[in-house]
Amino acid sequence: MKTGRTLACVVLLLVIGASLAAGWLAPAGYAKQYREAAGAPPSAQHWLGTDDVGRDRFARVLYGTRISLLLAPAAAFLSTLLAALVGGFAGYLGGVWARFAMAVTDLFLSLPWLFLLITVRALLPLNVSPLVSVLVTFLILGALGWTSAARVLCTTAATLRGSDFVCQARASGIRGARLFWMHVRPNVKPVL
Amino acid sequence: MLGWKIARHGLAMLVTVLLGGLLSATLVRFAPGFDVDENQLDPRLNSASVQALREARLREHNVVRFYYRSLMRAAHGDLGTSISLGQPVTTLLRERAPLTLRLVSVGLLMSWSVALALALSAAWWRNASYDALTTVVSGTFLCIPAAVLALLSVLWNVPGALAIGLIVFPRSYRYARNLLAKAYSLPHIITARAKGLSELRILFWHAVPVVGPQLLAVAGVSVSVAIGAAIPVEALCGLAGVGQLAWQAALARDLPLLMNITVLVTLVTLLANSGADVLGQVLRGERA
Repeated sequence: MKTGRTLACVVLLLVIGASLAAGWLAPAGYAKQYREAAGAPPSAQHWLGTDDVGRDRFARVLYGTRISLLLAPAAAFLSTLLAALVGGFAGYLGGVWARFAMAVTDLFLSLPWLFLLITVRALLPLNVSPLVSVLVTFLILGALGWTSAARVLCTTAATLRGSDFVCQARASGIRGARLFWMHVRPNVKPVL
Repeated sequence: MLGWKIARHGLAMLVTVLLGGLLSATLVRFAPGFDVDENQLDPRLNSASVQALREARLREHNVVRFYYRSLMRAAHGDLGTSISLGQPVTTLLRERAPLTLRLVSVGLLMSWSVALALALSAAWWRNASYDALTTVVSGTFLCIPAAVLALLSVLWNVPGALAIGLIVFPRSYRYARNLLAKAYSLPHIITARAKGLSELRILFWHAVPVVGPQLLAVAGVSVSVAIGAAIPVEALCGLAGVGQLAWQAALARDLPLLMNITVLVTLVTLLANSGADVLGQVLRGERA
């Protein structure tokens, strides 16, 4: 598994390196139009060809990778955090809290969020700065991706709530957040 | 006591489903382009027809009033009429639901069979190369967007259910593998192995009671993942199911149709997850 991790890290570093070196690998930039070569197939000059308006696809992929590499881990972190908070505490507390949290989770799983994305995009002005656009996208992706993990975490935490070691910890006087942090959290880590 | 609990669960489900419908209607209502009906641009229509179309849209302007009227109609068995297709929503859903049900069921069956087989074999053998191979396979499918898998299924002429199965499989596998790997590293299972118990006995007597509730929760969630996957698969493969209907309704901002589909999806999601919760409680030895 160590080799696999090393290999994955090498590939990731290569992708990061290529995206950071976009200005050197594709010096013309992502917006330059090659009008004489619109819709061109892959060639030595345009490695991935050009799009319908003649922009180099390879350059656009390289520059786009920067945003994705920044956005994806941040959104994943936010959704994991939300899943841990909602699912972990709902399962740990149980009862009406768990039912309420899971009803909200089910609602999130069922709604057509495509319309939320369209509405938010429409609310933003067309000349919005790239930073604001990235932040809004990151927040939406993070806020919508927590539901599946929260459901599984809730069940895991509920299982742990009744386990012997948690009962023993309670009997030893460990309660509340300390019990959750010290005994429940390490056991829900594989699911997270 | 049991009757009271069932009634309470039923009431909570009803409230959630109704809330799902209202939220869905609100999202569609405030999405840009809701007030615009492409038919209004049809040059063959006279001004009276265009005005009638405008007034029909205006009636849906107040989402709460629209939702209340829809609920009253639904109480009498009328789910309204689709704006874009001009047919009763009940007829559309009745015609298309069986196909989606079949696709989603077969897709889920395939994905869970493969996911469990790979996760169990990885947990049994604990071979690093095999684990890496299964991780690469599931990771590859996780990286491929649902729409691309749907397009490949059209190109290679494979059933849509297989595409749904391949979309759900990596998500189910990741959870199942992690849960089973953790269960098989627990001291009582290591002891059982050392005492020479058969793998099947270890699985059903010692591993399943530990990871069963979590696996059931994943199974419940995978139902909504499969329904979500049915939308691009049906839309791209030209399969006349509820997923394709949802896609058409979303493009046309067809409020009555989209709201009813959301209510249906919410109901299925709730039933799947509630079923998983109840079975999980039984496995944990709690009273449902």
